[in-house]
Amino acid sequence: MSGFDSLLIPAVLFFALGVFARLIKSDLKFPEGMGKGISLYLLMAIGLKGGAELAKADFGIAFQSIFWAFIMGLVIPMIGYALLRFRDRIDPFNAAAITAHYGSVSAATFLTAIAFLETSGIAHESYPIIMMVIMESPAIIIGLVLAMLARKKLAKSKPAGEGQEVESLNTGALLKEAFTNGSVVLLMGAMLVGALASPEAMEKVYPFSNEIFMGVLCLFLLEMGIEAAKRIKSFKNAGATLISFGIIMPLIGGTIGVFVGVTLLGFSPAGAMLVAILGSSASYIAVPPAMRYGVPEANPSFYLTLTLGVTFPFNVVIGIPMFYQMAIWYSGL
Amino acid sequence: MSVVTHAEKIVQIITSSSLESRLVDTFEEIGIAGYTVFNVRGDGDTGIQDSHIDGDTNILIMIVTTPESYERLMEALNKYKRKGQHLMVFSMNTEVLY
Repeated sequence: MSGFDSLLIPAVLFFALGVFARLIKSDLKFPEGMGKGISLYLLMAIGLKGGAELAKADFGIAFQSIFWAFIMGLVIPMIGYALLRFRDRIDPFNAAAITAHYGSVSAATFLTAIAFLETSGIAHESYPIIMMVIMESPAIIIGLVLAMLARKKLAKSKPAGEGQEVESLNTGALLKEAFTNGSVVLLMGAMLVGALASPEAMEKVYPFSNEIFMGVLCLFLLEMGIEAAKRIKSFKNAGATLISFGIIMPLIGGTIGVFVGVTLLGFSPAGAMLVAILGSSASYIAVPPAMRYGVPEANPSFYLTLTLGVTFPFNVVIGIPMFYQMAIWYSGL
Repeated sequence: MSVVTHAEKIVQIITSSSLESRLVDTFEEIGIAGYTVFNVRGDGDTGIQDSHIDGDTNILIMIVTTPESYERLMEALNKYKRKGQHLMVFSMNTEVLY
């Protein structure tokens, strides 16, 4: 599957339908809380599937995957911060909050990438699933540290008593929340269940975790399409620099992911593409609440517009097939 | 038979759901035991808030308080504002039936 064909999988078409529905101002909408419910299902299903696979996996590669996922989670946001701060284009607080989203991952993009591979019958390694769990949180730490440094610098440059109160946030509590975030706990827990349960018992769960998975993903992407299109009106507010960042950053993160997947972990092109998607996607579940409290100086409208309105559609439509082709090409070198 | 009511204050706070647990801790610290939370939707400086994800979920907290607790509450909320947190705080006089 390549090029235009990759757009013709039901999940991507439903995403397009969601965007279209919003653009024609249709009254199509999901009941409140349904999107959150569906994403719980998706995380649980992917966790069960991944856990069952990982039970048979090589611990050496699993450990290496975890290590490189952690490194990617730290390095990608630092590159993003340097890009945003280049020539002082974006203020340090917005830069810190935005880049934290890019170091973390979007489970929906990752699941769409799996749908792309499974629809085409392409086998892939299951290690990227555990990498996804690991990459949820380190970027939050980077975002908080960068914002803390910016806050200190700002306090030094202003005379005492002027401007905002510089009081240290409870960073420990914030980090605990990042690592005990619901999506991280559910994904880890479901993986553990998948790994510990007997294969016979897991077969009973297959109708739930495997057979309806693609259909539920379609429903979820329909909602994501509606949400992405809602953000279009904020593009003007975000400005050309940020919108371009929403496309350039996934290209950089994805390229790093292809390198990590192929060269450092020795994955197949399909597995490397999944690592690329981890590198290129931007979180919209675990990171936004952490940044809203941890970096209140940043404007939430910017990071949500970028992650949901720019990077998510870019990855779903262009990134997934492009990184797959890139991984095939790079593996063949 | 005339009904006796008490003059109190009603404080309403619109903010991100990510602040809820911290605000509740603050209420407890200053001795406010009761509050009501609503999920709300809207748009403004922080962008569309439509409860799609945790990052764009706003809440409205309603507190009915005595004039004494009111001062402490407003001071505590002002601390959040000074740290740059996004809170819309407004209050009204109210009559409460016990």
